[in-house]
Amino acid sequence: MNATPAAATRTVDSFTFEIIRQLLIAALDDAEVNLARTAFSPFIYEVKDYCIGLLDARGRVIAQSQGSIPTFIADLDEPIRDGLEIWGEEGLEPGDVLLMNYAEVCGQHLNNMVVYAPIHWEGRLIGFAASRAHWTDVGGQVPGSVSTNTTDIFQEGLQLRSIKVHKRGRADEEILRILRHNTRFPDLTLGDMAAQIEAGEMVRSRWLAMIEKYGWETIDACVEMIWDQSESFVRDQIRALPDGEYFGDAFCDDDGITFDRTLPIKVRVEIAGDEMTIDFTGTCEQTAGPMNTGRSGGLSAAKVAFKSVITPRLPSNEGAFRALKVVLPEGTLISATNNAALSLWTVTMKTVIETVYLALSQAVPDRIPAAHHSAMGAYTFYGRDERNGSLFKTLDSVLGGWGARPNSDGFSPLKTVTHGDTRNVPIEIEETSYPLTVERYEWRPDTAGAGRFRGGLGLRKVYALPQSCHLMAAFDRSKCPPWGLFGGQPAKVGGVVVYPPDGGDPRSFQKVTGLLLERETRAEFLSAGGGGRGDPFERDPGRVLEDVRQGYVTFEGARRDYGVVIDEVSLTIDEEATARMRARPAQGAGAESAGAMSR
Amino acid sequence: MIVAVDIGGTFTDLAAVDPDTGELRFSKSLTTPPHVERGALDCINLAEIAPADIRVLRHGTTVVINALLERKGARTALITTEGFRDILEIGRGNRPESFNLFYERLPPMVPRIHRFELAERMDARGNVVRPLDGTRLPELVEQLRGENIDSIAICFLHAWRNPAHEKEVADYLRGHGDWFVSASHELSREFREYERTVTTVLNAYVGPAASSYLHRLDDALRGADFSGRISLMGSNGGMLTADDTTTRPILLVESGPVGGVAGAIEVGSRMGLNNLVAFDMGGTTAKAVLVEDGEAAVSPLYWVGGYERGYPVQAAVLDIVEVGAGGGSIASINELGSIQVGPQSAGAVPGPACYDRGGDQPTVTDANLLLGRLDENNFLGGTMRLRRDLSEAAIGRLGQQLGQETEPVAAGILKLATLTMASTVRKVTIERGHDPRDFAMVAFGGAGPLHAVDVAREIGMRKVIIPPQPGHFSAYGMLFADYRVDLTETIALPLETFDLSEMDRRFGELATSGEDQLEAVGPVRDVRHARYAEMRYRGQEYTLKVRLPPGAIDRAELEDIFHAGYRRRYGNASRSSSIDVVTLRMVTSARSERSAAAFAEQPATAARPARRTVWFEETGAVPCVVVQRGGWGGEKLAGPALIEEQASTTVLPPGWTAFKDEFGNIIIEANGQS
Repeated sequence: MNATPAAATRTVDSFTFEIIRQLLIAALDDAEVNLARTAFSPFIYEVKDYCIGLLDARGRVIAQSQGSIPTFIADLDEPIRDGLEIWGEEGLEPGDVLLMNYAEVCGQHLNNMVVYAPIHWEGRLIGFAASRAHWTDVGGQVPGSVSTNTTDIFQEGLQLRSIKVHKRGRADEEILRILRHNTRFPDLTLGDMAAQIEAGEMVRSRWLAMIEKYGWETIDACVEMIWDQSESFVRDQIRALPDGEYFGDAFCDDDGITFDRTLPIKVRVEIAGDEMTIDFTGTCEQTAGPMNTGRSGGLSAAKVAFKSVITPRLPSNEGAFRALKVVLPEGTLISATNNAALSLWTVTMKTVIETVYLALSQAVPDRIPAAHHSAMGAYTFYGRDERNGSLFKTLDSVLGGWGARPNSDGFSPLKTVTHGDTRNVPIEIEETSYPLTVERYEWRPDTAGAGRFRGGLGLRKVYALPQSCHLMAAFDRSKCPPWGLFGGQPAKVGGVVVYPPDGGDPRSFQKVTGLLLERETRAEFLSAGGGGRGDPFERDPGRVLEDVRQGYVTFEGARRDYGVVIDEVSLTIDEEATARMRARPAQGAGAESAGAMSR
Repeated sequence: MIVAVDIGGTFTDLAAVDPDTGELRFSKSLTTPPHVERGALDCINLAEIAPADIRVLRHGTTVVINALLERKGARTALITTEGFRDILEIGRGNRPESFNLFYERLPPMVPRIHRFELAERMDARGNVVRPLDGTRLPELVEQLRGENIDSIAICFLHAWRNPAHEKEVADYLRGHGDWFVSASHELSREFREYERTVTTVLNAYVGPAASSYLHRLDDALRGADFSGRISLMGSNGGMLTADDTTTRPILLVESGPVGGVAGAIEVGSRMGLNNLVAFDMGGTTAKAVLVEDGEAAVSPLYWVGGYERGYPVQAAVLDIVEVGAGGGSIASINELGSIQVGPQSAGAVPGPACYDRGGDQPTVTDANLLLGRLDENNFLGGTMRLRRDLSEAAIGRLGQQLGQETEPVAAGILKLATLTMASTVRKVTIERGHDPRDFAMVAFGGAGPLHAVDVAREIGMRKVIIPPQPGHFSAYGMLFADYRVDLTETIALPLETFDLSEMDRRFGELATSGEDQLEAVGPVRDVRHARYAEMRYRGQEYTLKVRLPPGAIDRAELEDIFHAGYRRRYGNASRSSSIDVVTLRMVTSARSERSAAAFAEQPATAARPARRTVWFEETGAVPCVVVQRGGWGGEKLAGPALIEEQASTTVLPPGWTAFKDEFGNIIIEANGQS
């Protein structure tokens, strides 16, 4: 709490420092608003699958936008350092704009394109304005470049390694031709690139205006102070946590290719004084299918978990992560190399982040909820709209339950931990824009993990298809359901169930690409609930009754999961029967789910 | 008399004008919750106005927003399409606080057991896919009675396109109970089922409370011989019609700040200025609203309780950006070790340290006093003495923590407050694609004139107007508000195949409907229509609202208007992309009864200009001329200078020049070419 104002020992007074700090954050936030509004791809304006950063001449993050998805956290440094190595300081000139998605360095699926521009002042390189955004399509085997069954990066699209698309302020027509003819949606893709270039220009000009007004010396000193202030604040927070070693252990379902082999994730967290180490040693080897992330994915997962537990409100910058050490051996699921397939990297990220939470739940139980639905549950319908002959492609992912908290039930529904301010698509917009009909969108009772505090509920959304089309869906965590903590129960899992029009047997899927759905097929998307917390037999029977009244829990669920017997006519608790039920151990209880998820 | 009453959190303000003579009166009294009508009557008495002489009483109220924020609304039920009663609770699934693992939204106003489904369905074109099963309705009425429901919201899928089923159910329920009934199409003809459902639910939730408040106010006034008409200020910046007030009370959600904006528009129009920023600064917050082409900017989606966790309202509401920076904002060192000003405020009690009411935290007002910008002997016209020594002690303590002298700390507090306030202006201009240099600021509120020029300079504005009576301006401005009806219709069609005569026809319908609503008010003058289209490049979600010129318009023109608007707003436009026309908006407004009288002059004072030492950012502490607004002839005055009046002080920094215009406004301009 007593982070000494760095100002006391520096030349910049605390007011000037604070003004510059705020102006920096505002500049990045403004650029972010602009990018979201000008982008053409729903990945950017709707999913908020982007970030914008200002970095110094050595590629260190000075400031980063705050409204976008959490996974792009202070991870623009590696791509730019790679560019610096390739081009050298002299090779980067005013007016240059570079493109970078080279997988070995970026470690994410190729849609995530870094667009960056060097910033010069008085003739020398002083930093970079950079953004990363999910481009709709960069080639590869399926429209949208994301699928569940690639086996190397070359099937996923075009790789660019710090290629100059603008040279000294002028667009390079040859590079534009390469881009235009390596994507299925050239207008969207080039439109998004233009939006990124514009956002970078906004950051550059605001930064230069600040230097103009306050002087380079002052600004430069402030940047160091911002990092130091963040670092010392973070170290104070860690120092307040109990020293020790904590372990987490979970797994993803499969790699999308081999369905009977799970993907174990191991985490060891060590808190020692004012430092935290997150160690992923023991995590499974990289896979043939596209569930891998490069090394930067593993680092980012560690940073997201670290930040959300230690300093959720502190803006991200270089200094905010100096107290975090990450141990990540090469060649694992989250440090894949040698052109591994990365298409579903973000599906893996959720479980990796949650496994760190699982470890931390032993150190700081009050800050960690039970597991959330974590399945990703992204899905796309695509095909040709029979009403007008045009191609269509939808995009959404499920909302589900979040885990129970120390003193309250989990909230529901929300997207996942790697989503931020990402909204679902309204039904009235889906039905206006695409040949789809939605029949139901509602809670799934009894899907929350039971506990003294229960998780949030999962949802059911049912589509009826007035014409044939194809489906891509990416779910996970059906085999390692969202866990409970401290005696709380795991939640019910989700997936997609397809009901053929001829009344044949329904088929269930977790990961599927290119599935043909005939006209009048029904597709039911089920999301998981969140895990419970504490012994469900200790839940206040009055709250169980209220859940039954509202239809969140069934009579049967109340009896089975909570040991509460409710009279179905009078809607009252049968105290005697409840006492008898609760004298027995709960079904499935006794297994501490935390840490017991390893196979 | 035409009387305007603004009931604020602490004070109730009155402004009145005699339309025949142009005579103005003002008064102020304490707000008297929960029976706030008493404060209004107090003000009327204080201003020596006989209630029988009041022709029109205009009123801005916070009753709706308070009922929502305090969750003191009616026992409400929701009726939806079968399969979709959970839409209200499912929402959009976003987590604006993306690193907060304990994020949650405010709970829905209607619990699940009070959400009922009816078998019926429209498709996205408005065709009936499944007819409404009317036989279920008697049973539904029984259920609603059994649950003691007071108010009912109805929202069916695609009612924005075809409201037939909603109408049928609403009519039936209105005929079978003494409850408040609200159907979504009566509030919004836009798509997005969650937002429209919430809007309808909130409207139903506050309906009974709003109408009982209006009855109470009406009774209290009639009991005192009032026989005139009550007009309420709508969130869209205009006065609401009686029909709106009773059936669409949610339109009162931002009723409070409307007066100041209406006044700013009037001030601007008398000077021939149509592009303004209305800047209002009080004790705890600062607010900015943009006025473009003489019309207050409205936003199509408003958040009750804030964007992060609150409820969306799909209605035209003034696009207000508000921050926690006011005279009472406290300066402190936060957990990061950074200096911070606001959002915590000392309010009126205990107030700034210099009020000597027990506050010992340094505030913006203390900094102003210490730097000579306020006069301890002439605050609120000398009715309240300020204690400079207490300000000095409070700021001194902060200085010790920071290792800085008192004066630079006071100066730093003002700089940070300026930056925070400037962010409101930046958001309504730069973030909405406007260049602030094209706008003049109209500043009011007790603390507005003290900081207006600093804020203008920070953001690059070159002209600031301080109207007469800036401390009473919210009530005063209401005297000039027009009637206004905002109507919209979602069409969501591609521009290349869209039949433009169809667009004209729909605009025509919206215009007729707007005029009908206005005529219900009584005789109106100068009816004006402004047409807007919300458009986007195909594939985009966000739309851009563009104003359409009057008269017929062809496809190429419409396309050009959109590209140009897009380029202005976002810096680039995509000539090759296809365009969708998503929503049509029509603003119908009419002149209200008002006085043609010029603005009030300041009561003349004999006080002579004085001098005192005042601190400015450019110069540090310098000797400075202090004039009294009432005693000042209005001749050019070069900064540094202060212009004092009863409830406010205008700060004129070096490099700026002021004069008084024929309406009594102080016009402040940056020196050098504009």
